[in-house]
Amino acid sequence: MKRALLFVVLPLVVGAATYFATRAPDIRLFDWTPAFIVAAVPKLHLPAIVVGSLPDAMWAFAFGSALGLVWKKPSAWMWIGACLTASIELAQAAHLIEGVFDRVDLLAMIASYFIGWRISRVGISSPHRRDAPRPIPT
Amino acid sequence: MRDRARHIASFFVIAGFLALNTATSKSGGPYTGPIPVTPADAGLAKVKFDAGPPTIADLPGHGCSAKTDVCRILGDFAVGTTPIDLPTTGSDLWAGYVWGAGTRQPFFVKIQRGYTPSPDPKLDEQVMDDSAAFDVSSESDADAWIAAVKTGKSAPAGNRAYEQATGWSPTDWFGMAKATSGSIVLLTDKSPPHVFLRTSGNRLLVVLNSGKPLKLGKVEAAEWVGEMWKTK
Repeated sequence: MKRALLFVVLPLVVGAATYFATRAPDIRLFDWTPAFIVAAVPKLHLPAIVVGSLPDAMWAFAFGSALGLVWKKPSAWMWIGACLTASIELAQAAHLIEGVFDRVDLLAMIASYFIGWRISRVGISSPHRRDAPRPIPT
Repeated sequence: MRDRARHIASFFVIAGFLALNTATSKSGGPYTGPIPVTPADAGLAKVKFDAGPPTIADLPGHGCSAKTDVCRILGDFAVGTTPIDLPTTGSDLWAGYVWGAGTRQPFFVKIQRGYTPSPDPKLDEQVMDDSAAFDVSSESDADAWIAAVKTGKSAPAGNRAYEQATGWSPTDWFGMAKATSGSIVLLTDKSPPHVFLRTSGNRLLVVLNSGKPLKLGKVEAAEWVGEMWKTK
């Protein structure tokens, strides 16, 4: 539970706070969040790369962490999640979804996703299931 | 947790995070992709104004991909359309912001039909006024008004920015024409063409560019880029 809070919830909160602190209130996140929370976040002038890429990177980190915590071992789902993460940004380049494609965003999201997947499993990943039979020494 | 449960949990994790991703979409309806450029709008202007206006590709910042308001609006402007519904009577008031030289300023435009004289008699039926930055004593009033406008609400009671915009009577109206760049260009005999408009969804997008620095309020910028919403 602590890992979920640290690696999933906290990055999402940081990403949302970055939006509240730097963006115009014209995205759904502002509609979904109680006004007093939005108002409590001070408006900041941050470098454009932080404003543009940090929330996306935090989302991808949390996404990778969530899947990593579910599996705790290498899985095909890691690649499914990675493809979805990349496709969200690439779909913007193709104008399939709203947004402005940015290479920095794409790199930040992919890197953050894999970092999240790996770091969330540090100390808990195991190559063998507990209920799986141990390999017999020959 | 067995693998079957992990597969199910993974499905829900993906569904949940994709749903979260929509939080960064613009509020107010599903995205339907870029708006196609309208090749011509017979109802807009009787003449095509082919001197002065820059093409979209000539605009500073065109094609930029940084996640800034200027890049976002320029991207929308490039694929925006041009028809604007002229009010049958009275005037429409559009309010929003323009960005230039790293600053943001409140901006509004009044539109009305049939004002004369215009710089070109052929444009008499469709004219428009460009307000430039308006001098509001309280920036928070302008912010509150524009925030209300964006969500389709009326101006807050006693809002000074709204009162100033509605009470102000312009002396120099602009004629409206279709520029060769595909935008609407506002024309006056007192300054070179420098106001270009397009629509995108419920927004009126504006680019102020004359090739020379333009001063709004106390700030001078080579180009101003903005977006406005129709007020109630």
